[in-house]
Amino acid sequence: MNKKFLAIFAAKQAGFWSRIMGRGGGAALPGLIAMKIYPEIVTDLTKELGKGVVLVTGTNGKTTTSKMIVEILKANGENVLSNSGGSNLTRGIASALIERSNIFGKIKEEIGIYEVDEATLPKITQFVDPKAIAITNIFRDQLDRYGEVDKTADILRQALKSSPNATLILNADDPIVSSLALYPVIPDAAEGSFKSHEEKEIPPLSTNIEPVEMTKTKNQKNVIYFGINDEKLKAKSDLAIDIKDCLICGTELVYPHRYYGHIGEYVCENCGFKKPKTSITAKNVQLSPIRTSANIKIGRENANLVLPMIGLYNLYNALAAVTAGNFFKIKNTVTFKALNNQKPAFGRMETFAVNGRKAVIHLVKNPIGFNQVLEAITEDRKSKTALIALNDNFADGTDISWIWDSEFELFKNDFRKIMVSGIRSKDLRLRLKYADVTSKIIIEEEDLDTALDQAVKNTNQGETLYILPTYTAMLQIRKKLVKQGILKDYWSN
Amino acid sequence: MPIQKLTIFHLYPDAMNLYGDRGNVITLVRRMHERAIDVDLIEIKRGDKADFKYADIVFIGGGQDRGQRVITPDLARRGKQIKSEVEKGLVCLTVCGGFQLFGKYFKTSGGEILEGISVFDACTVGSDKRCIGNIVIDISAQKWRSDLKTLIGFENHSGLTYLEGNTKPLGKVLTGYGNTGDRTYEGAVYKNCFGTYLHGPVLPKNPQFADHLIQTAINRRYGSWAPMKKIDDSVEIAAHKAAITRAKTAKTIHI
Repeated sequence: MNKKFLAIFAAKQAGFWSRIMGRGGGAALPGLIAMKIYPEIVTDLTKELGKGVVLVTGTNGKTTTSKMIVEILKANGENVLSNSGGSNLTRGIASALIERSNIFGKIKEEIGIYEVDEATLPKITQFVDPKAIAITNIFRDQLDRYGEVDKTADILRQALKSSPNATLILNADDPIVSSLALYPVIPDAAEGSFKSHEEKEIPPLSTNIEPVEMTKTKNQKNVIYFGINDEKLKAKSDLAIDIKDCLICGTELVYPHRYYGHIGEYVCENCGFKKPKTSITAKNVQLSPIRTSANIKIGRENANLVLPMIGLYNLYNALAAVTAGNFFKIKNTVTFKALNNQKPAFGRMETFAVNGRKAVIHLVKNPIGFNQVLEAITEDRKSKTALIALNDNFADGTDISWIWDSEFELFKNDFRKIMVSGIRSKDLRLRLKYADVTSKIIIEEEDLDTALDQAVKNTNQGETLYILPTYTAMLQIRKKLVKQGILKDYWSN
Repeated sequence: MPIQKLTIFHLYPDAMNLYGDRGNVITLVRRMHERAIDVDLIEIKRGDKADFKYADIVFIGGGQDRGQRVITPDLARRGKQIKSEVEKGLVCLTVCGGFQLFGKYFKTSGGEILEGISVFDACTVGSDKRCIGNIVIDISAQKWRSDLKTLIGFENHSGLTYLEGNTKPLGKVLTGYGNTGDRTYEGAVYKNCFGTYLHGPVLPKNPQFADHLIQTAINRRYGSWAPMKKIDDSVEIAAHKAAITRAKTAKTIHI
């Protein structure tokens, strides 16, 4: 008790001073200090959350999905604690808990939504016993940190093993994610005994507040799958596909419909591994430059989602959030209203006006995310400009070779001017040259602050400036915009 | 002047495509087109028919362990022909996982042995550490071209590659870890077959190395040929120089 008290006290002090000194909101430091003094701090404080904890992980969409789940729960009157937008490492979760805790370790909030970095998941599951774990997707990302996609999948599989009570909320359209539910089966795959784990029909539901049917895997794990079922959707880019082979038997997967990357409807003609049946399904997807709409089937219910966000990837995030809402037995009407009113997360499609020009920030961090963002913004057929900013600090990923897996070739005629900036601006400049982007429309300026000014200057009235930065570049750009009073400091939100 | 044409074989673009390696192929094709050289780019996947007699440049990139595992049997079937063409001067660029499988074997850290095709007299042994970071190597000793002194790239490998016999290193490490993680030598050369851990990808920011591959292939196919015309490489060279500076300041990680 003493140590816990001391840990919270010291951490709160650190958070206070860190804010006073203008060193950000103290997303990591308080947690780091508390864990040094009292390593069980996350376990202890999480127990305060009487209705349980949901962990949200995956390569792309963690922050947005967590934020959506929080909004849905809040719309239902729940008291929610979340680290979303802050640090998604253990220390970040500890910081979020300490911030909401009083000095005696009491917390008013009842539900925790923890956004968790993929590599951190096994650590978090040692500290907490989550009610559910939602996984959005697994793509190549920051290969300098994780090594490889297969390794990421292994890390997640290991974490799921140590969370026997958690219901899994999984993206059925991502074979790497859907295969995670099969973890006891995979090591024996060589024996070739695998049968599709999902065979029974899901019966329709009588009311809209009952949870949808879960799938029981061989190891008695509860899984709810979400996904998209729309034959009109077709992947534009063939690049950066991480998996073409069945994770169970190694045969090449067949994709009757591929939406993007390795996401879609897939089947292994050898062993039967295939996209599992979904309980939450999006149909009739409509993509536009400002919103994404779809018809969502939840058990027997149907509802129209009009998400004020662009791109299929955000639809998947919303589906994960709908599934989480259903898991907490929240009425569909509440869930959909919350989603229809979504505001973008930190640096994800934040829209603002600067010098009378419209500008939008889209964080980019890996080739699939980049291709998806480019695909979504080029739905905007009006004249537009872009500022692409590539940094290679640790938080960005120090290996920038992924820009060669981004298909700039497909979008080279979509912008009137493209500015490249950041520590690796010259690499971007080179990438654009080899994508056959005419040098007349490219401006290179390594210094981000100058580049932002130039980008605004080079954007005409009526045009939209799309700002596509990696993580630390996004922080720097936001900082400048906050200083100019154009954006709000994230921590004051 | 008769029209020149070169054929590129890109091996396993599906299974071995981890680190933007397609950028190497994009670079070769673009630089040939700028010299009015026709290019036949042929992607070779598992099970595809391919006669390496027709290849002028062979490229293979890096892959995950799984990718390497699935291509091993297919590559083994082609090994003999690739080897015999390399003896006759076939130009090959092999990167990361592809480099490892052009050696004798790759023993993974789990103890599994992936047989290579022994073009290089080299073996790779997995270690529990990864060499990750920007890397600069000095290849001036090769004396291929007066303007080809350094290669810049990014390395990320846990396999340590030891060279023997007639296989010589590609360059000396200036910044980074290199083949064996001890900051000595990087890559491999045997005749016109090159191996390296440098991705980034390697060719866009090292345009003279790309030209060396193309020129060597041209000379082999068409006999001695006048040097290719120079093209504007200012963007490439600026990126090369900036990357060297960055390699000196950015931290590398050994995990």
